[in-house]
Amino acid sequence: MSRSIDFESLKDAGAMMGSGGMVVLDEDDCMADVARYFLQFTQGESCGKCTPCRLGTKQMLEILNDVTKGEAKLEDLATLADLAEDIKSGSLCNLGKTAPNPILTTLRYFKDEYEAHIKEKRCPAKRCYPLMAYYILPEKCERSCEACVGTCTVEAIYVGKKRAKVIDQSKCVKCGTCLDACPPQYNAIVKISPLSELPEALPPLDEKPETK
Amino acid sequence: MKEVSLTIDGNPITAPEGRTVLWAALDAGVYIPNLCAIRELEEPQASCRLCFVEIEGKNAPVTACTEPVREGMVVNTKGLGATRLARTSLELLLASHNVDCARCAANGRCELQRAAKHLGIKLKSKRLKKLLPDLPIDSSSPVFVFDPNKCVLCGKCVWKCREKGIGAIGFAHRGFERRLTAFGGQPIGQSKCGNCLECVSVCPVGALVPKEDFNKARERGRNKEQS
Repeated sequence: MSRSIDFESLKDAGAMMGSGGMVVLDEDDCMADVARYFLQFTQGESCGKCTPCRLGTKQMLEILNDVTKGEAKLEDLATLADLAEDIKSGSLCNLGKTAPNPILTTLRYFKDEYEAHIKEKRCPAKRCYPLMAYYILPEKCERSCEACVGTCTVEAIYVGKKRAKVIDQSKCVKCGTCLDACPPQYNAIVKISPLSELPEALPPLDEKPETK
Repeated sequence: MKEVSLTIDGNPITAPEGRTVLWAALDAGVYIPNLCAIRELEEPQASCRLCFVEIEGKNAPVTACTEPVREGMVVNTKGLGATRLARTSLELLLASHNVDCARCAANGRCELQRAAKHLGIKLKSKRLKKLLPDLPIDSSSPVFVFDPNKCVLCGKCVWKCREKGIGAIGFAHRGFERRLTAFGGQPIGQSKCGNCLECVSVCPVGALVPKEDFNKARERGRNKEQS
């Protein structure tokens, strides 16, 4: 992981100097989602004059949207790679010529992440909302603490059996506030992807709270 | 003017110095797909990205409309690299074009059909999503109809309208939202359009068609569906 910061070296890596800024990403960042973010930007920046940039960035963005929703097919990745190459070579100006870079490099270095979204409906970084859920581990949840319940913006958390808190997935908007609110000594809230690995929710607590 | 000799697909041709490869080829009867090329323009628009060709000595395909002819130039219009780029551009255009040939007034003389046939591209893309601008047809003009879902944004009509000194239409918005419109988005019929039909005469597809032809084509399509 050592690379000198100069034009040639960055170009080799599939990146470019740009304004000289650098974004540091880690394993909590989904590479397909990062590519989608940059494509959304370039697609909005495209002036619309030439065909590859005007329509190609839109088509690529559509595929990336599908990938991050788990709705893409494996052959869409081939289309994405082909489109990216052609838009890089075929566009009129350097906006279109560089717009596919995030796709080409993430496909080069992180193709497995794309495939996980498609084949397993799993976002390895647990970042793509349609493919992940927040879950409270009942064995870690502290009976007397209701920090998450109070902080939930949509009142999606209820008290379940043994006073463990439970997220109602049909109400949850995946804002992540509860994960931040859960005190570090309990650390009871986790992200789960794919959704098929989400354990069945505990039933609500029947009896009324004893503290009344 | 000095004449320059070059070969296109193995055929020797001559063209006046300063001419671009695209016009040299078209004048010599060699078809290179194009939508936005306007002979009178000094600076080509180079926006449709269909006229890619390969030139000996250059390591990447170039657009024929921006490449001036040179003595001894060897042009290949059928190279794999060039046709791949042209095909992708055309496929993108077709994926955002309301392919409704049976009910279209331009059926048979449409440049998209011609390019698709030449490049061996199906009118309905298998790998791309259909992404139409989904805008209403503008039939406000008494003499022609504008269908934004068929427009390929070649810019010929805009150029023609300005050349005539009218300037009723132009492009607005950016990226995928880019579209042909009259000032302020008003219907063309309410703009300063003088109904000269010059824009219609240069439209390479069925986006701008005479009202009469539009209605006839609709009728024809309807009859075909019924029978």
